[in-house]
Amino acid sequence: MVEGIVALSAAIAVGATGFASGIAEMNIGAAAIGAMAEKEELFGKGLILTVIPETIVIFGLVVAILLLFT
Amino acid sequence: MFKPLEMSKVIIIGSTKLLDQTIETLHDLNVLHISDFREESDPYFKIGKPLEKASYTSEKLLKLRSISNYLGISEVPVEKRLKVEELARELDKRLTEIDSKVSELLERRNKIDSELKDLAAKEAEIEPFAVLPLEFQLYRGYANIAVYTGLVRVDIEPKVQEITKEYELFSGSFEGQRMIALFVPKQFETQIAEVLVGAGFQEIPVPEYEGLPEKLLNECRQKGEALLAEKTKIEEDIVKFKEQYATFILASEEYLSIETQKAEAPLRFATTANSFIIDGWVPTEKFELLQSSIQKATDGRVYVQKLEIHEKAHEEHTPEVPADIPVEYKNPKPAKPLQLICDLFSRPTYEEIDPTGIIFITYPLLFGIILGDIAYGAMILVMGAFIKLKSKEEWLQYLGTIGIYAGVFSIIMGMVYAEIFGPNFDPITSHGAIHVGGFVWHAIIDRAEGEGIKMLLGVTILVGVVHLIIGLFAGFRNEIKHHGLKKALLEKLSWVVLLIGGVLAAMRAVPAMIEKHPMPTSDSVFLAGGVIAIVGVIMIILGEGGMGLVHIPGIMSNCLSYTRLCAVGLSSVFIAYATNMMAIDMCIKAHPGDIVFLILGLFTFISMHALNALLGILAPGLHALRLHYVEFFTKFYKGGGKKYSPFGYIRKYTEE
Repeated sequence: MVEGIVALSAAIAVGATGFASGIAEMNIGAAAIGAMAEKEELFGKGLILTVIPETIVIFGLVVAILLLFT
Repeated sequence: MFKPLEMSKVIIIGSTKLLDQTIETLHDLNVLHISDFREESDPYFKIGKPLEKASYTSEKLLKLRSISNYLGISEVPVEKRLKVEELARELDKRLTEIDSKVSELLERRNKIDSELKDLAAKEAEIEPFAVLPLEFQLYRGYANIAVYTGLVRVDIEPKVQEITKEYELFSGSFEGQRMIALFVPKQFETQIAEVLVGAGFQEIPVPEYEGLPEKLLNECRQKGEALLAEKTKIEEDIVKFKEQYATFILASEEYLSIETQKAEAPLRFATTANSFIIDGWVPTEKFELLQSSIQKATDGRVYVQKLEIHEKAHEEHTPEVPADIPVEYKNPKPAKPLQLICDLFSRPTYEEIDPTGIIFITYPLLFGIILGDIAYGAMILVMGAFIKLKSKEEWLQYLGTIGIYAGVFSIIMGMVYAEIFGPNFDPITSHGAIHVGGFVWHAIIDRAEGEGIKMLLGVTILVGVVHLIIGLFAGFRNEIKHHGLKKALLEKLSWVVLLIGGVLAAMRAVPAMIEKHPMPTSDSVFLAGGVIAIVGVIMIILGEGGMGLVHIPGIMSNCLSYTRLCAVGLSSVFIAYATNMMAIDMCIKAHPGDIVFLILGLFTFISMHALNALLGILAPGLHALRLHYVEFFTKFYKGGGKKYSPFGYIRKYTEE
């Protein structure tokens, strides 16, 4: 029973943070592509700004690992 | 290899009488990157006037480009290059010839197109009446009879009979509906109109033609076919014309572009009434060539001088390097293809490290770690070699070479993981080993079972830490140039210290967490790691202030980001695993000798592995790229350098 709940919470941790990361990067990505269409050199900055919210899902991964392995 | 090509600032001064020869020489040499002169920056100088031939050449070029557009001319392979003098003489005459012929052909084609459109409209008008046996003139000109032609939804005959026995009704089926022509004496108009409305009457007016509709329809169709035949003939003519003149048009385009470039060059120079000044950059190794060629072409009457900018940079710590030195790569031939990857992000600036040399190893390596399959790696290698052999364009060749490198590293990592077409390709690979003939090779990391995955997770994080440390060292070297040793130490090396300390501590702490033991506070490695990490944190605070602490979760996130090397790879491993299980275990092995299952198994095998290979090109390529751009480059790379584009042209279709 406990194992089941642990597994479920790990799944929720990764799933919800993945969802949040997706929502966060949604508009930034669209704006980055728009800026790039006008000026190619902005690709680097655009890409970096778009993936900044990735840390949210990494934290989710860390929580999931902690749950599963401790 | 880690620095871009060394550039020297060059200044060329001469009298306007010598402008022509100077421009010719510069263009032929194709080494000077001109810094365009801006009028606002200097009150004494103006931009130059274009040479006289400029208007002539640009006019001809415009006409030629529009013709080329109409005909849809694209690149053709070069059989013979045309000589420039020949072109210069023939251009005018041939151009008017080509122009008139092309406009004639196109005009005829457009006329036929509009005639075809008219015919189609006429046909649409006539068609409904073709189902009725009456000639067109019989629908018109009645004094006492009302005529109704159109579509109805139900049979109106009974209703009409109720109103009057004097009527003529013709009907036929048209496009699934009922087409009628109703003739009644005029006095019954209103009643008939009611009946028709009740039956959903849609009027179709009678067109102004004479004769039987069917006959007219056939005539239209015949005319249409004749016109179409003519149009196809004209299009064939256009194609033949295109083939005949393609080389000439492309060569003339090139010739005229070059002449226009040369003629409009003075717009980029600073001039006075009698002199010109050209400001530009040339690779230091080419300066001698530039100087001697110009001296020769102008009898030494033009002044060419090199301005050194580097000595200043070494003396002070804040180099007065102007921001827009054009940058050209200087990499050994094997590393050249990776310049594509660097350029895709942005060109390095002049003072930065050129990371191509590092990416040369790390990109294929990360690609291989993710893909890690001997068979897929071999496929990518073959594809890369194929692209490289077959393509003419430079960037495709570079892409092919990158494919070859990626394939090689995938094969190497495939040996490490002992995977060919997945980890269970019976009987060649299974249980973490490759069995070929009598030879057995054991996997170093077996990706298909739990322990191996855990080990891979740790290994990938270590790989990530090493990658980040390389990046931080590159940043360290960049910072020394800009801000001096102390600042570079505190800003970049502090992170290296933190990373090393963190890895040492984690090496002991993570297994303890997993096995639910208490923290190993007495273990020497853990303590050493902890102390080093704290030293690192202090250095960070000294270097970046309190904000540095906020970036610590950032670096942890960067390290963990490298676990995607394990995760993305695993997805392809298990697709291959499932495919092999379905194709081999379930189809071929379970029903030996049965041809249907053999075919089914083969089909599954080939299609799923092809899909997996395709994913195996996209996913590792993308993720390795992203790891480089986001985690690696942010540690040291600024980019934004200006591309080196020298004044000149690489001739393809013409020769001097």
